[in-house]
Amino acid sequence: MTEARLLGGGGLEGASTDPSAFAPAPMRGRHVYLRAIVPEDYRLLQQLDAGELGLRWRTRGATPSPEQWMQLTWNSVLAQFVVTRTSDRRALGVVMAYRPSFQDGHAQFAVVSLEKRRSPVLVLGCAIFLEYVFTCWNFHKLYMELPEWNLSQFASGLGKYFQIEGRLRNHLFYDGQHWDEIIMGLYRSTWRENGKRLLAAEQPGPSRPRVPRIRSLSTAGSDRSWK
Amino acid sequence: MNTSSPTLYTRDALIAAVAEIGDLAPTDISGESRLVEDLGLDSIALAEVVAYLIVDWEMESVAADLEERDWASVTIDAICREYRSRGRTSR
Repeated sequence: MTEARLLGGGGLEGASTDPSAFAPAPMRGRHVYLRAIVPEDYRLLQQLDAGELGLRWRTRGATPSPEQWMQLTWNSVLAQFVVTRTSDRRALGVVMAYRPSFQDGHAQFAVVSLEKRRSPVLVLGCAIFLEYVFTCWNFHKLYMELPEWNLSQFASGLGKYFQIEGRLRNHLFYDGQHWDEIIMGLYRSTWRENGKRLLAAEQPGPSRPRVPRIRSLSTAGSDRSWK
Repeated sequence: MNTSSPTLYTRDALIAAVAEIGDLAPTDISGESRLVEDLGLDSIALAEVVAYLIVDWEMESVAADLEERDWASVTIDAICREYRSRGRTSR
């Protein structure tokens, strides 16, 4: 993986007709790498969907049949990987881009943690995946749809990486009350500017580029007044 | 935040950076503050602090054992001690 590629050297802004300019999209960093989901992963993922993770996100309490679960797992998926720890090949989470609209230049993005422990490593894996998606496809933004009860997990990214673009009031029901569904947008331009430090941290020291000082992080356009 | 001085890597600079990343008031952060348990940093903020230490402070020790470290109880002072123990009080 080249430095230029990990730091967003690809895409239209870096367009070149020189064949030697081609470099594979990033899939591996210093601490984590992205690997394909294989059938051996299905058992773990299905068990998670039948537990708290399913309640919080995808199955919402239902227990789909194996066939339905397979559909749920792969339907409309554009790219999906297991974020894997380099040191012991432990699966930390799943990242996916799905429901793409190539005509309009956007897709959905989701990340699922397989561990309860709060770890920065999965976020670094997400950074590699976002760079991968923006390298492979000409999306100008990615959406995240999340139930209101999951919003706090992404709180510090609001205004810096994501902005809230929509809110479906009382859209979801759980435990005696209705909750909002939040739609957040992550723009390519915002990611390419503010994701540099996360990507740089995944590079070995000698090849690590300089990134803007922390004060110069640009905003994603929304304030944090929701807090 | 002491970002106007690019050569100083001090506890105040770290507190300022953590405050900015976590959207916290610097006055609410002390040397004893634990990044997750006291300051409540979420995973994204924690990753940004880690990236800041690796990239800006060039703390290879953080990069080396990033996965094994218990970030929930790491304090501001512990990070600064680790930085100083590497003989990098300034650059």
